[in-house]
Amino acid sequence: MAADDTVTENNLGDKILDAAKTSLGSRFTSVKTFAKAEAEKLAITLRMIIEASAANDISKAEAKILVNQQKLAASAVLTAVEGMSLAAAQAAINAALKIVKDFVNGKVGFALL
Amino acid sequence: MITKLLIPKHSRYFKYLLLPVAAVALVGCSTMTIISDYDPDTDKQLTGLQQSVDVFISSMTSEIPKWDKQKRSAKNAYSAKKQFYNDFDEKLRLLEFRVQSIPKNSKTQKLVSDIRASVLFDENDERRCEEENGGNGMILKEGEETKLNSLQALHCLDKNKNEGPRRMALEIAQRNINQVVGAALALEVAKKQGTESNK
Repeated sequence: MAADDTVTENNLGDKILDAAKTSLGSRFTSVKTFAKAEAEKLAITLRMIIEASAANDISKAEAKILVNQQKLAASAVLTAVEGMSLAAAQAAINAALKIVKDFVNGKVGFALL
Repeated sequence: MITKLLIPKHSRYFKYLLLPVAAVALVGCSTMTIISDYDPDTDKQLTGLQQSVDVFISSMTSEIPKWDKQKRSAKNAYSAKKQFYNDFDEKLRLLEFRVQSIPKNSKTQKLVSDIRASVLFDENDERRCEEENGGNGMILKEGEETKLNSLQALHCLDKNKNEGPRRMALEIAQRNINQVVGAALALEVAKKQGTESNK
């Protein structure tokens, strides 16, 4: 009987999925942590704009510019989250490939992967 | 668990159909690239830009006493600080050139363009800054919609142009800009971790 970490024809699919799941799990946790922290920062900044505007510590024109700038910051955070998710997916695919590389290359007799 | 979420019950063997497709797609390569690898130069230049804009805003803030939120400082006049924007533009152009030359780098390219938009204004706004209101700074009329979103535009509003912005405006702009540059840096760090884990 094959050991747990041995890749066989029967467990090839499961091994690929296991490797991808392990890689994705930890990375998506850090993406989620980043997104949450940045959303909180955005909320604090928006509160600062509202309070400073109400107290006349910033003018209406300044408030408009700062809100527009904050929209830009929100968009940048979402772009970074998208990019981090892509990086996580890429790492998961490559981790899966790495797991089955020796098995596949051994079976076909040349460096296919 | 992921399998259960992604694959409907009635097609549980679907994953086995995908395997040959994936194998064919990946023939001849042991890794797959859907986003550019970590680039140390991009990281270094982003860090440099973050530091320079943060120091710039802090230096203006330090000219205003903490206890007087209405206070401005003539030392922060736009004319006295214009060189920063020119220098920042120059450094940013180098980074833009670099990130555009790297394949599959659209996310970082977009983030770098966000940095430009959050700090610098475009040619039209520059002209407005120089000419509007007799050269004394831009005026946004009551109820006027604006697309202005940069520190440079904030700095070129009337009052701010000759005496610099007040503390709160500077502090909020600093938070926004740090968040934009921070997002770009976070993506580079994520790429770095991905690159290292697949070695």
